[in-house]
Amino acid sequence: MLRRVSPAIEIEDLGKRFGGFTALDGVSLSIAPGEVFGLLGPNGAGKTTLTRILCGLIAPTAGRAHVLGVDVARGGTALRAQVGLLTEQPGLYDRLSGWENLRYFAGLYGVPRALAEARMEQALRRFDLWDKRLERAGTYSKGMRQKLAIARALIHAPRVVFLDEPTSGLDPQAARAVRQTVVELAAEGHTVVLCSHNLDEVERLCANVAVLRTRVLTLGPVSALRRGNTQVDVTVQGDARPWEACALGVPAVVRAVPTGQTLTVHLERGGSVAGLVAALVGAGARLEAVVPQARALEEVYLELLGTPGERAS
Amino acid sequence: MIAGFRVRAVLRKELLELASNRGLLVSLCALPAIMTAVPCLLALSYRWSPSDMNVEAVARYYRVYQRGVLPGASLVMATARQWLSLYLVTPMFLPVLIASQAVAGEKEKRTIEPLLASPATGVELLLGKSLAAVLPAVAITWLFFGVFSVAMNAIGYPLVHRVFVPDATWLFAMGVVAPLLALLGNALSVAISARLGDPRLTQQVAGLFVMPAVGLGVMQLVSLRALGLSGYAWVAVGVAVLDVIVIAVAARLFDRERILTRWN
Repeated sequence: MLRRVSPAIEIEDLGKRFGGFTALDGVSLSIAPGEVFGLLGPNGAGKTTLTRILCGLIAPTAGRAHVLGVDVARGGTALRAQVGLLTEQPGLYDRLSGWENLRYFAGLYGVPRALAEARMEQALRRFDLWDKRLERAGTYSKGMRQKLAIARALIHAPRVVFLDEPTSGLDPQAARAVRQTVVELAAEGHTVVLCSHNLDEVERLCANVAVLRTRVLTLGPVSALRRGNTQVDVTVQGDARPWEACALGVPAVVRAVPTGQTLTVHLERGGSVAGLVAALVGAGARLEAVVPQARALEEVYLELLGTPGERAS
Repeated sequence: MIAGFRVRAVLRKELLELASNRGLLVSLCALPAIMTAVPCLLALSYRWSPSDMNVEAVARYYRVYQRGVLPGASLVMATARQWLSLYLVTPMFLPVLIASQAVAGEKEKRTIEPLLASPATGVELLLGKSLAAVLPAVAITWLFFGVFSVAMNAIGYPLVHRVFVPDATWLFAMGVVAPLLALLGNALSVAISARLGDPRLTQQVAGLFVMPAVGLGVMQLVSLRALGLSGYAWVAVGVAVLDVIVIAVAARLFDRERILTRWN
């Protein structure tokens, strides 16, 4: 018998207004335990507001949200103890050493001292900060500060982690270490919500993404989003130019560009590749290959944000 | 329920930050150091020429002249007595310098969001931060009061021939009224800090609230009419009531959402 796994995060019709300004409106989504979920959207789209609501920092004005089964509107201490948050700014205490910064938060989360020290050492070594642990955080470089802030967000081994631009300001080596950490967290069963503008990173790490701009513009697996609109490269025997007009006669085709033996065809969202192939074959074309091209997530993202009439108030 | 370990964590971190801030430590010690040095220098001047005509004139002016007692001795004891009121300004003023950083300083340095995202409740955070402001303020006040007492007795002993400070009024004021005033100064700062979100503005506004206490001290010093033990007992009751009210207001103003969303 299959047992239904409760989502780590479940959001239903969530809204948040600040006076006359609507930050979030009718947001609904569900994130499974152990999933790395990407939250995309331009600045001011409501990502930070959503994260703050899910961390129990601010209350929603409409709808409901549960994190690990805890109602975010009533969660308080119990909720905050189970989530980790990497804020956009590292927010370190510059006068304290890296070690003391971590120790402070381990104390706030009630992590037993021996366990806390073991975790602190592990995190500092992983992020190559061990040798600098006794130096003031104020002397750290931007990348070092970001790494220390990530270590701080994970010091209590939270079951759900919100990471806002985790690789911002990091060199490629450090960014790789952070991505590896995210993968390991997910493998250990932690749920990770990744807010990012780095679409390449989101593509690499996230199974599902939501594009947010006050509302959820789209939601689903990255692979499905990339397939949304279709570009098909059709290779024919001989010159492709005679088949351009035939392709354009297919209702879903927007554009057809012949180059040598290849006819690059752009179809509308949901347009049928099978219909295109049938039309070409029916007209006498001899096809050698039909290869649908997935679009980059960036292309999908920009297209979504360019949709008129969706801009937040 | 208040988790003691979280309060300790906040207190420890705040004290570590304070200890590493040499500029703030100097600022904290400057006022009590001056307040200790000035009466000692005055007492020294009376001791050098205790029978001088000018000293006698000052004693007569302040109505402390007693026949058969050296005017210098009367003035040394009067100075010690009157200075108490100014020592009560210190415990109220010092927490303003420390606690103005409590919430507004965290916001300014952008450390507030990770802190608010921790499981610590508002009361735990306020308690930890308040203790971190009140304890050093009271400790510094007591330290300089100790120095003042030793120095005044050492300077005045050849004239007075006995230990004359502290007396019962001093001990009550330092032991009871000073910590209550420190609590008040701190609670005012935290409440204002939670509302204004700017440490410098907080210091200025909280400073305004401290002014009546300074005025009371200066008034006593100028008129040389010091409150007695019963007077300070009434002051203690009044300050304790104010403490309860201001702490309740500070706890109410400490709202996560307001702090995060209205301070930009």
